[in-house]
Amino acid sequence: MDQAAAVSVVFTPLDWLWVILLISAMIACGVVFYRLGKRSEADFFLAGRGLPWWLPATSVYATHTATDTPMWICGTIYKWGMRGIWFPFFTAWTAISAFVSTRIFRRSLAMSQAEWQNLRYSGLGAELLRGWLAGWQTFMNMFVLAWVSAAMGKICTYLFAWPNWIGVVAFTSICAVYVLVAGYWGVIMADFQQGVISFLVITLVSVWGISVAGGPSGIVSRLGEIGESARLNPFHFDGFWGLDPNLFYTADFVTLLIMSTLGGIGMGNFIDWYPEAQRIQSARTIRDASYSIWAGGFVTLIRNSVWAVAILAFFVMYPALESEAQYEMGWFRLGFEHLPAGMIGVFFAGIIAIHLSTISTHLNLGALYATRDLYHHYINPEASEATLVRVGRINTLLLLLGSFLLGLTMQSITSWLIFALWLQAAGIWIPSLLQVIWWRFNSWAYLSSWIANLVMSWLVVWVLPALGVLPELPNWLNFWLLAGLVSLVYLPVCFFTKADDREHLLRYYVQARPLGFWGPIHAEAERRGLLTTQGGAS
Amino acid sequence: MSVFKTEWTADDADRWTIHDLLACVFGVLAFFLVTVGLAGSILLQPWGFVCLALSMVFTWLTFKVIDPKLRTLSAAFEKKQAGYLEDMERHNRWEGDDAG
Amino acid sequence: MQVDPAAGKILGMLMAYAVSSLGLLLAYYNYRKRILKADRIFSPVATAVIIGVITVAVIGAVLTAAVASSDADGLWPAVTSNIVGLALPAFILLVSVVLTWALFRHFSRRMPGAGPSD
Repeated sequence: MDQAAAVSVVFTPLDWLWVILLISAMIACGVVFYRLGKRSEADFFLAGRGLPWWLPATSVYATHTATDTPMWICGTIYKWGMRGIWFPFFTAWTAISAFVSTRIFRRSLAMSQAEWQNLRYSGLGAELLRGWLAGWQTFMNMFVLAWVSAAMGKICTYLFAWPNWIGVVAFTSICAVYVLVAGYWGVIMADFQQGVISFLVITLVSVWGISVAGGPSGIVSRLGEIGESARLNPFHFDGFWGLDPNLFYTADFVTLLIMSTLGGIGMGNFIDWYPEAQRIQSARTIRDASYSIWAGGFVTLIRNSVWAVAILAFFVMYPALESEAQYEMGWFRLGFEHLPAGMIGVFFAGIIAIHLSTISTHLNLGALYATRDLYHHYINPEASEATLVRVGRINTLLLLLGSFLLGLTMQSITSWLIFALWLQAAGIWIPSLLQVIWWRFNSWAYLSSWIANLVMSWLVVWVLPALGVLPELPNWLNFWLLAGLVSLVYLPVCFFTKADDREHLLRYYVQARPLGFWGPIHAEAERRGLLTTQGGAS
Repeated sequence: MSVFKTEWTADDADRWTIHDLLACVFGVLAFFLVTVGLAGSILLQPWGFVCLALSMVFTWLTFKVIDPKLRTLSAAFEKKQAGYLEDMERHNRWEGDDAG
Repeated sequence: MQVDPAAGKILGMLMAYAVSSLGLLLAYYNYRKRILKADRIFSPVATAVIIGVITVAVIGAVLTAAVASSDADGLWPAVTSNIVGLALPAFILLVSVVLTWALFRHFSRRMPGAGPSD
């Protein structure tokens, strides 16, 4: 991806002072919780399962706000106008999840989504799913770290003309200090502080940019002058449906809406689910978990709306940019080119806050899967709490070093893997729902959907178009085609393999009380009197 | 059953009811309306202010419908949580009844 | 290191699936050992599958690297233009693997309670 030309941003001594003071405050906020983080595995990875809703909520928001998020949102709003806001609307899965899958997951008490597979399913299939997901999540968190660090490298090159590796390595290493020391306690407390800083900075910079562009009325009238008033309309679509991947159809909007709302019923439909699952489990009660997910998602959408108008402001100032590499940096340009001295430093500190909150989450999350699922469950089940914390720190360090290796040597692979993450969402979207709502959907069906998704997504998105058998398809059609093709694999696997063990399903049902098609299990639980207040807990 | 039911027994709160569906619907509407409403309001568009105000209404409705139920089911689950956690740790160490 | 976008896609997904497969292996090993308490952890079929998957992965990696290292266009030209650079190292690798396996089989019989079936 080509880089936008470096801009000559002048950092005054006052700017650097604010940057240093704010970074110091961020690190200190994490490090001071060292004593809490080292107590146990549950402390190092879940802050002892005792957080009030507003702490995980800010972490949900902070995690959703990554270093590359403003670039991505800038890209969609600049290209599509206000209708581009429906792409980041996928966060709305939290609206339904808060009262459905969050509740079910929190009740399961699983430390990770991989462990949940063990509790939901039974037998060899359950273990294979746990192993598969644990390996996948360990590795994918490393890639996300590499991707986000690479974005920071780009920003630093853009601002200061630093060599790319400095931006990749420096700030991620700073973040690793408090994650290594305090684990999830450090992550969650620093996320709160960083979330507040980043939200304030995002609002300040956006408002500043809007006023520089002439204010709201100036933006509206300027769009009218250049014949782009349609950009103000979030429902301005290019027809109901079609096959041109360069147009935005109503079908795209409807697909995004369905994905982003109904997806809240499932678990693992989106890559965001995995870090949010950790936040859910760290909440003090089911009620705290529900509200943390709901509020975090709500604030994230507020952020999107503020950004969207700021990017329209950038558009009216620079309406003729054709290269994505140029216009994706639009929001950064609004800040760095127009803010006064002192505020530039605060803006950069806000970007660092955004970066650290994402890095810390994925460092700790990847280490969670490597430690709880791979080490604790498979390698050393009798490990002491001290050993588990030590192994957690080692895994954090390994993830950090692995992300540097990937970020510095394999950037194009990283970018294609991120592309693959989105593909994965299509093929296993429905299975991720089915595993929550349908008792008969077994471990072999879910495992086969994961493996089949690889083959199918290659076929549909790359191989068949390259051979001219399929044209390049619009997003909405790719999604439904993949969902349909993968179902041709997992549905027969489901019906031709045995259902999970009934006693196991009963125990899971009584504890987690899942929604949906659990008729036979529910009936048996009622017959045994397990669904009353006195029944259930062993 | 009243939509704004305030008194729940633990057994009732554990069941899926119309209140959960309404909380989801109101929540989605709140999210949808704040997305378009806030952007429209910043641009000083009348439709923006209307959507933003409706978003606040649906936010309030979401919590009015679901909060009493959530409080009750949370409190009831907390009493059983310690036992479930012990089971889970045993399972993680391959000591459960059907570990695996 | 910059790679062709298509190769990057394949490589990226393969790396992720390779690590996930290690998780599968760990899970399978533990289930057989701790739940089924099997005398022989890997059945002949499982052993064949594991060896098969590793063999296919190694061959795929070698061929992909051969294409990336060659100026020739396409798989077959890339292979035929560098037979020595492929066949000789593959032979040496095969000998190393066979030697390691033979050594392990020979000396593992001497370890108490640590035979090839563990």
